[in-house]
Amino acid sequence: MMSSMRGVTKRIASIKFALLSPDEIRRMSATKIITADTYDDDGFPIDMGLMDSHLGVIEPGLRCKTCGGKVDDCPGHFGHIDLAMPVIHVGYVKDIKKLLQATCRKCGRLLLTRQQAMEYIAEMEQVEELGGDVTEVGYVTKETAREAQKRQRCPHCGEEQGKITLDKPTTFREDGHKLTPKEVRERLERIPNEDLRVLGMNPEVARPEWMVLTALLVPPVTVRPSITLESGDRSEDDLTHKLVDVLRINQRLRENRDAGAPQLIVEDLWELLQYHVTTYFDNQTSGIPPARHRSGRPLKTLVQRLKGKEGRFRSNLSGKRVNFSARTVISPDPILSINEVGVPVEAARELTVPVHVQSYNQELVKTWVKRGPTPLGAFGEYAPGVNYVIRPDGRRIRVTEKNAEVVAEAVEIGYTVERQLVDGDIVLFNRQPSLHRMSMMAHEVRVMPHKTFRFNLAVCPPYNADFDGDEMNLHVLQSEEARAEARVLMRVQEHILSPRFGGPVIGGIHDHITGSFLLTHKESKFTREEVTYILSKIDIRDLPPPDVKKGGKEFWSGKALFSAILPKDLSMTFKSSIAPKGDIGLKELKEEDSLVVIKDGVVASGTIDENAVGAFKGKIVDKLARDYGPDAAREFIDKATKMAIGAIMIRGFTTGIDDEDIPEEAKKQIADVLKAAIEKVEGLVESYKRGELEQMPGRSLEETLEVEAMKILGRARDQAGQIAGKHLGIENSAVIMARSGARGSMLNLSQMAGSIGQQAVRGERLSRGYWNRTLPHFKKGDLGAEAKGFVKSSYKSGLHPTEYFFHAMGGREGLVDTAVRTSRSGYMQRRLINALEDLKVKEDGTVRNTADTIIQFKFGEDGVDPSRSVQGRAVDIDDILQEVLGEEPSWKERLREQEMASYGLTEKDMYVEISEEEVEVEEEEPPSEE
Amino acid sequence: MSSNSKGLIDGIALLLGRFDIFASKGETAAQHTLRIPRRYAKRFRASIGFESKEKQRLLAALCSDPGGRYTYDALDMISGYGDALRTVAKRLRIPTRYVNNFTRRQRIGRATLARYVSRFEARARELGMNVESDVQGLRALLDEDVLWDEILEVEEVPPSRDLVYDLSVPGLETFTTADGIVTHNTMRTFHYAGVAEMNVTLGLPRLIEIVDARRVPSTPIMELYVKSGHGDLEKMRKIATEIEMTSIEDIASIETDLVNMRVLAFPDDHRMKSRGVTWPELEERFKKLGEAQEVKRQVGNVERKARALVVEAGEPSFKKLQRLVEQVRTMKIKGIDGISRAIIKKRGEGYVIYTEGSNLSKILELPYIDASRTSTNSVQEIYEVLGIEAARNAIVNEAYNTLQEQGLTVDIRHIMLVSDMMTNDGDVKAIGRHGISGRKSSVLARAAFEITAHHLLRAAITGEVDYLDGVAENVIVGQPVTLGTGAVNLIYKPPPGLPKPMAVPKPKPAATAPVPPPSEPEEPLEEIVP
Repeated sequence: MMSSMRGVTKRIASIKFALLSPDEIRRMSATKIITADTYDDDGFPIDMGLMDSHLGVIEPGLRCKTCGGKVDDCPGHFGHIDLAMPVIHVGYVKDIKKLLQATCRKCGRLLLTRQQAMEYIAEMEQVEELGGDVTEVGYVTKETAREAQKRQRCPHCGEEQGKITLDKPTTFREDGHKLTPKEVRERLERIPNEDLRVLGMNPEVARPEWMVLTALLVPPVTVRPSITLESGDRSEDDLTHKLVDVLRINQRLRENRDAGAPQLIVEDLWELLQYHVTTYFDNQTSGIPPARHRSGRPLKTLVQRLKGKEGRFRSNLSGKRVNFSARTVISPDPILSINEVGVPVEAARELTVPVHVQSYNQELVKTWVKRGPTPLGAFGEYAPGVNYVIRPDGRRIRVTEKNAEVVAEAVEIGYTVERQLVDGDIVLFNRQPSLHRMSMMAHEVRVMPHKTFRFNLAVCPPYNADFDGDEMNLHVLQSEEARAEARVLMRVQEHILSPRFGGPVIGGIHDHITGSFLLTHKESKFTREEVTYILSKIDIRDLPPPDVKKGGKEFWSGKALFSAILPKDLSMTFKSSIAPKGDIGLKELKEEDSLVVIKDGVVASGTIDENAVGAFKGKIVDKLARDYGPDAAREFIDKATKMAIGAIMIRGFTTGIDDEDIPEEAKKQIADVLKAAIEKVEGLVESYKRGELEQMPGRSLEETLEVEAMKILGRARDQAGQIAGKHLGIENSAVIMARSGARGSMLNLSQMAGSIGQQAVRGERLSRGYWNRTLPHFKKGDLGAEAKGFVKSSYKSGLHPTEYFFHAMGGREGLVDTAVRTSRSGYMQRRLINALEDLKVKEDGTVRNTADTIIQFKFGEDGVDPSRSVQGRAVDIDDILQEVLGEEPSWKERLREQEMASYGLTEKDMYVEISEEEVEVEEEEPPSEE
Repeated sequence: MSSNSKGLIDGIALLLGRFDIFASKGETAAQHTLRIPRRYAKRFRASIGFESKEKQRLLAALCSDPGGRYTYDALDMISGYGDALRTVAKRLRIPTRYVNNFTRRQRIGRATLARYVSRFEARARELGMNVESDVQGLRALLDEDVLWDEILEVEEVPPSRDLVYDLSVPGLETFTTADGIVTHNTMRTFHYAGVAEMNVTLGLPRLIEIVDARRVPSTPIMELYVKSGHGDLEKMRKIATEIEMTSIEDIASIETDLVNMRVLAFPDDHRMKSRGVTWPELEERFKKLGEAQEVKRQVGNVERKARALVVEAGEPSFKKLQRLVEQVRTMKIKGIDGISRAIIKKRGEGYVIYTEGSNLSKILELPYIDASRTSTNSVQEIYEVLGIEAARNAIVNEAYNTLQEQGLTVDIRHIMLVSDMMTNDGDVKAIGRHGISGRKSSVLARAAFEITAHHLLRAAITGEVDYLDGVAENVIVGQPVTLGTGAVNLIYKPPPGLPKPMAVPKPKPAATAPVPPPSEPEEPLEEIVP
């Protein structure tokens, strides 16, 4: 956009589609094309050839003979080919057939009586009035045509009608006799305008005879540029190749016809011309072999250029490449706030923000320009320079070290200056696949050394990013409106609460949670040095009073430290993630320090872990975002994570395989449990074989056995895990991670230390492989535990060969499953998005589509934004009651409420979500209905 | 057998493989042949057999003939037994020359091995030695079901097409792994909440099904409640058998009598009872086609009299007879069309009936059914019977429950929006090319989704106009979308008396570039379009 035109851009109000008439083709044509040759011996385009300079230029230096423009100024102009004989347009074969069948062969009138026609017109009008869409109008016209086709005799002139058939792709026959395109065209010419409307055509923009081509439009050379190879050879575009074919045959046809060649030869050439024109439009027309390049590759002609994922529409029009964007590897930076992004200096120097020079900033801008494109600050640090100065007439002046002074002097009001990024600029940050709106959020820039984009780890979950080589994109906003929108709607803190379910998606992860746990679990105490270290990370200067004094030494409790970052009036109660599962007593909760009670901003009891600060589950994050606003929540996440990292650094934290060491006796116990289970299954099998197994209702005997065996073995695995778990205390690092929700689960641990358990494919014990057995290591028909995929080893002890194989079988199923699901769900997501993309909530609160049809009178029946809802409910009545009445519900009641409010989201969920929606796989456009 | 179709022979060989019969393929000048080794004769007779009496006789003879002990076994060669034969032979003091050959070549026919094993055992008994531990391994080789086939040559096949790794057919998930072995990959089905014996599509496949607005779900299911007496198991059971669709096929074995050109159906008493069908009922139903008679029936080698439903073909036409069989087979005796199974399940105090198959309109006609609680998972049926609003709610419920079962929490408002979109104009439309996306008001938006060329061509002859209201269209033409700050146009009218916008100092136009026309607005009205 030219800067002087800013604010007065023109807007396309509408686009009308129409058919080109031969007259119009000739009128818009810059030149007639008659020769199939392209360039002469000197490499210049031949006049009236396919590369005629009237059609535009593709070589620098040459000028367009039509408009006089050079390469980038001239958009190109159309030419045309006069076809020696008319040829049918493939895209309209079906429509031509419909018209021929529905109209009289002699007088061209619609084969319906006046009254019938009126009825159909009325019906069509009614459909249109009721807001019928294209498909519905199509139904009416189809019905009209079908009715007309039934008539054998013309009601207007009484002519007997022949039977029109279509030999795919483009040959029409009447009662078996071939109709030449010329005859077809003559018939179509006879159809009166008023009869066309009923058949769904608009004669003002599309006369039916135009569907039989007499002149072929030749696209400008800019549409089909030839490329020069290194060898100096020219390689022509596929379209040019096709047009050359058309021209050649056209020429021969004309010569033969004029010379009075036998009818047979003329007809053959005519058909050949039809073939070339057909493949010029669509080289995938069914029924004819695709035209091929010399190398055997099918040519990419007009339709192929447009359709599909790599076609013009989806790859160049719906998605475009943009300027002012950057892409590089990402890496973590816990110091940054969650709404910041670290941008490498190199990128910042290239990315610019346009600044419009006005009287208030003229002098300031001049000093920027004067500094040139690579200024440094007083300490040699990065300072923003200016890359381009844009004059009101749209000319860009590149600012260099040399011309900076001169250019700066010339800067006047009305100029635009492209300033490099500075800290605080707002940019969009994105990671593909962009599955939800949190995949693209606005961050504030922090220009930094080194070459990666950096951001806070708490933002990994919404982007689904990790740092194993992921790359991300950054876009610099170019207009004030865009920046305003981004700042209000798109900043990271505005997305802490997910619109999917109204809970937080941003919060502490991994070490943040471990750190919080270490900081707050039970009576964790910290010395003065440690406390100053932790608090220095979050910029708290005043040390709170010490909680404990012991032996002349002062100690601060972790809970008190954590309380320092909570709002002073925050009160809430919930269960920690480490709380034992199930309905348990208050005493037990307290024992484990897993009932979090926050009163007036002070953590009175409980351990701060995933249920408090975690992404997806953090109750404190949720409450802060909801009640104290996004900025408070952002600040809290920043501080809580930094503090957690401070705490974990003091204590130190590591885990290794020896965390799964269990004593010999425990191993023995596990072995006993597993052995007992296997024997029990053996017993079941025995009774099954003897026919003594009691059948479960609705199941066959075999199924009963399988279910029972699965049950027993599942229980055995759990028991093994429990035995192992008993010997792994809460001081064990792996256990800390699993219980606090930082990473891993108790199941993972029990598989490492206890037993891996039953492997399953399609929810059943393994059974396939050899005849009647899984592996040749077992007897045929062995239904015992080990023969059907029970792995009794643990990951730590290592697997037996057969177990290893079974494990691989189970693992393979998972992989196949994800692979299959991703493609299917990708396509579903594309369809869903396409269906819903242009719905919007209008000023009156209704949800409407682009046709202004009301889809919902009020969004979601109550007009509530799901991301502002309290787990789906419009208001949290309990919370309000508590606040207003000041009543303290009993802890049990409060917990029940919280239980209800838990989103049930685990890592598994994330996995499901991702796999359900991941990358799109092109579903090749299947041909339309027929 | 022989045929000039290689494909047929290959196919038969594969099919025989399913029965553990491994035949050897051969080739003559014009014919492809297939020989079944005689050792499979018994298996062949048991599981396949011949049609013609003569062949049956010969086959029986072949099976009872113990001969063929010394046939050379070229096909089923066992390999990889190392020194086992020799060791045993040595121990038993059988001259090792008998087995040297086999040990050197490391292959031995299965029959030959069997012979040797029994010979070893006999010898061991003779000598009173225990060679069990040695022979055991050999016997295991004999018993195993691995088929050893000789690799004649290994040949690298140059790819005739581009290489692909995934041979699956989209949607079907069926792929060919090796020589004709077809693997079918079904999506997981889950057990319906509480109904162990009923499989129901859940998860992603189900979600796609809902969004596609399929006419019939892949696993139609109904949940039926009764107005009263839901605690009475007997009564519920009666209702269940009553609605379960029963055809002749379900209760009778059907035979064709080619001699008399008639079709016979022999109802099975046991099956009739479990389906709750009585003879008078059956005869009443059958009146139109034929009648019940006492006929002689061949069961095995015994001829017995049995009561059968007989349909005469009338004329001697096999085609007609074939049609009649089909007609008899599918003839409905009782129950409701489409309900193939009904299961009673305890729900709280009383019982609920779950059905496989769905037919809402017919079910609701039953007087004892509580229509207010009865439901089906077929959205289309709900639409047809109860109307569009019910269909809208059905979509919401089905989609929401499907997501819930997967443990996904999604705000119900999102699902309502999808559902409202699908049902907006009084018709259940699919999400996708044939539904919503194909009916958008904008040509460009439709073209950008799928079947691009079709939409553009159609738009041209109908003279469609795209008003560029939606997101996709505006992105395509490259202008701001009508959302957010793009949704409003700001018109600023400066107060009177304000000087005209400052004249922009015009720098010298570039010598080469065409000068754009001055864009100074005449009016003090300035439209600002972001």
